[in-house]
Amino acid sequence: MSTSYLDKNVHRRLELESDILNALCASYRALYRVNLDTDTAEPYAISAKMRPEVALLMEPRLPYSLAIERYITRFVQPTDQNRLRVQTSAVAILARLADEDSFTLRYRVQPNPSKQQYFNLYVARTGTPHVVVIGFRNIDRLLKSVEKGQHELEQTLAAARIGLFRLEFEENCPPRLFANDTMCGLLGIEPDTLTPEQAFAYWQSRVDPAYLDTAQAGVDAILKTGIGEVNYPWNHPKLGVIYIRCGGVPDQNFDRPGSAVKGYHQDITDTVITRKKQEEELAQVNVQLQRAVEDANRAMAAKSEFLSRMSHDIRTPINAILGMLDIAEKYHEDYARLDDCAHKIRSAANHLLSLVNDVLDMNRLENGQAKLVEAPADLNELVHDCVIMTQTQAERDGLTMTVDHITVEHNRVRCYALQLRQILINLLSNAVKYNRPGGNITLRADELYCNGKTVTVQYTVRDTGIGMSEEFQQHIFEPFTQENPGARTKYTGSGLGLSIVRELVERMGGTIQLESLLGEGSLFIVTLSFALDTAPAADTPAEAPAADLQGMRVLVAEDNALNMEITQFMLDELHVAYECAENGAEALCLYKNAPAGHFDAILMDMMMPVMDGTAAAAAIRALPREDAADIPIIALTANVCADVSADAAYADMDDCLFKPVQPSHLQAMLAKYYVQHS
Amino acid sequence: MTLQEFYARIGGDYNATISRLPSEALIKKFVLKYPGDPSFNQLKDALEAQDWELAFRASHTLKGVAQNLGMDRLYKAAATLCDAVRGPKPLEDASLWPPVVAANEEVLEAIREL
Repeated sequence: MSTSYLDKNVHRRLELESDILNALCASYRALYRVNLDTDTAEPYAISAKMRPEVALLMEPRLPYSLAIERYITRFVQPTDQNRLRVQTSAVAILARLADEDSFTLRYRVQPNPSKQQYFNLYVARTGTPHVVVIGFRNIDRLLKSVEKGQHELEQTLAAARIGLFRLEFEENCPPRLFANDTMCGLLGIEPDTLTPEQAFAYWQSRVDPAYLDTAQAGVDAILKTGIGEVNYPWNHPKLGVIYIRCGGVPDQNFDRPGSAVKGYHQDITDTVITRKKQEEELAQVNVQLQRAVEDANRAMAAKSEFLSRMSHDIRTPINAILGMLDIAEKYHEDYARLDDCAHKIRSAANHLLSLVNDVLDMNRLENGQAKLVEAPADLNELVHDCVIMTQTQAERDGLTMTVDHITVEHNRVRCYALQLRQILINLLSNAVKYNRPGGNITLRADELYCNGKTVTVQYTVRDTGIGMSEEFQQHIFEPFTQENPGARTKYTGSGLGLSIVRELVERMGGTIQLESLLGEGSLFIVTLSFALDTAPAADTPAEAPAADLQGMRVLVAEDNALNMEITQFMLDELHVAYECAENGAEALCLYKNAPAGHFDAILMDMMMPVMDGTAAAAAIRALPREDAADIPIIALTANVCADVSADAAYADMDDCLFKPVQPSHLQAMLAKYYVQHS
Repeated sequence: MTLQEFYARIGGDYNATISRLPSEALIKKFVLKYPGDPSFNQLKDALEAQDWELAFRASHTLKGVAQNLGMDRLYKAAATLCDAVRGPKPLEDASLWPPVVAANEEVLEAIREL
């Protein structure tokens, strides 16, 4: 009786345990109890799902090591076999379980009808040493759900052209690259066409050789620090060189010896190109900025040049003035001399004024923008002025000036007078500057030829100065050149005079030559042609050019037929159109019925029947019409004392013509109002 | 009779006239129109009617025409009369009228010979 009770308890306990086991084994295909000491394996449970042939393999009481060996050989993927063999050995299991309570080994099975792929081999400790539980579990579905999540992630990333990959660097194995579909696309390969080893080799072969080290360094960084990213050029089979950004983290799930990385692979060519473009643009902008800076500097330099030059050119006449003032002070009772000084001062002052007024023009000349103004001039007078201006300075420096032959026959020309003055004064003042004490300056003007329309004149300035070396002569006309900066005379000048002279001479269509001997002196020869000024010297003020009154229309109010006819005749001669009224009332009527602006002026006889000039004018002015207030009304009167501005009779008139009307007066009057009116 | 002789005869200013109306043919054309001018007759009628306003205007116009054609003697006579009735006011000095008549007659006669 006690045994049966005991039996019942035991049975119940066993049942309970069996239920628990079954429940736990639900996910496992098979569970075995393995005694590593005795190398025996006992099945705990074998699920119905387990393939018969597998089950059959494990069924006979084979030693564990043999059974597992057979299993591995027959069912596990060749690539995973060795690994599994090693890790399922008693030694390995025991070693591992020394640290952990359990561990799993993932492996792939060989192709099979049920299309199973991934399995976990689960090993766990039991209470008994050397006794372990080994379970086999299919994890395809698990992976699939993980895969699904992964897939969704990958799809999102695909849109951003980001591929995902895993790199496996297993010890003693070639590196493997597992690339998702997006990455395959980025690599230019079809998914599943290459093995992971092939894939890695393929990828590596197309990395820009100069960047292989970088790529490796990236992987190292990931493995060492847990994160990393590299950019490198990659030779795509279709797209050519593209730019790739790779980054990742260590793959914690990698359970074999070696290391693995999981990461992302992105085509950043667009970004790189954009950035390159930006950099190029930036470089261009920099170049432009540089140029702008250079231009600004040049402009600054030109400005200083200009300022120096300005002071140079202004000093000459000022010195002349000062010189004259000295003389005036000294001979303050010699009226003749004072007169002469005053005249010369005025000449210099005028020149100075023109200079100052034309300072901007000089600048514009440099910039090629100057408009030189041609005007009638007297060459002899002009040259004389220049001599006066430089003579004082010359005398002060103890130099003599020889001006015996400075007039020409055909001296009335049209020329750029100011510029010609500049040229001569420049040459003369240089001759003064670079002379030796007691030296001489000779100015000559020679008329080379004249053909009735133009005259060609040659001006020569010779000095007994320091002269110039052959070499210096080459650069003499360039700005800022001065052979001997320590000039003997008081002011040193800026070295710009001759460059201006040359420019001016060329502007005027002439030539300038230089002959010089170092230590002896220099000779400048300027040859210019001028148009002769054929217009007679104007003593009387010029008549106003004949006004063109064509198109003008006037309203003539005149009661006498004969007078009207004479007026009409005169208007015909002037090509002025007219309409006639016999009295003021008719005039008013004609005016009112005409549109505004029809008449340019009204010639109003003062004395008329029906309505006289005064009344008619008043009536016209009173009209509410735009031109009524403005239309010129010119009175025709015999009263030479008429004062249009004061006499009330002319209150609404603008002007008056005295009878008998002179054609020229009529023309001038009409011209005055026609121009104004239009 | 030449135009210059004409002007000499009537006491007129040939030179001034030719400078204003530069062609003799033109001057002659206008001069020949003088007999048709109503100003003298208007003046005559006005004085007879003692219409001083009209007399003033007519004498003024006659003065203008004469001046326009360089007929100085006629112009002066008409001008004197014109001033006498300016206002207008009655002509007090009747002796101012005959010179006008005479000058006018002189012109007309000379024109007939042109």
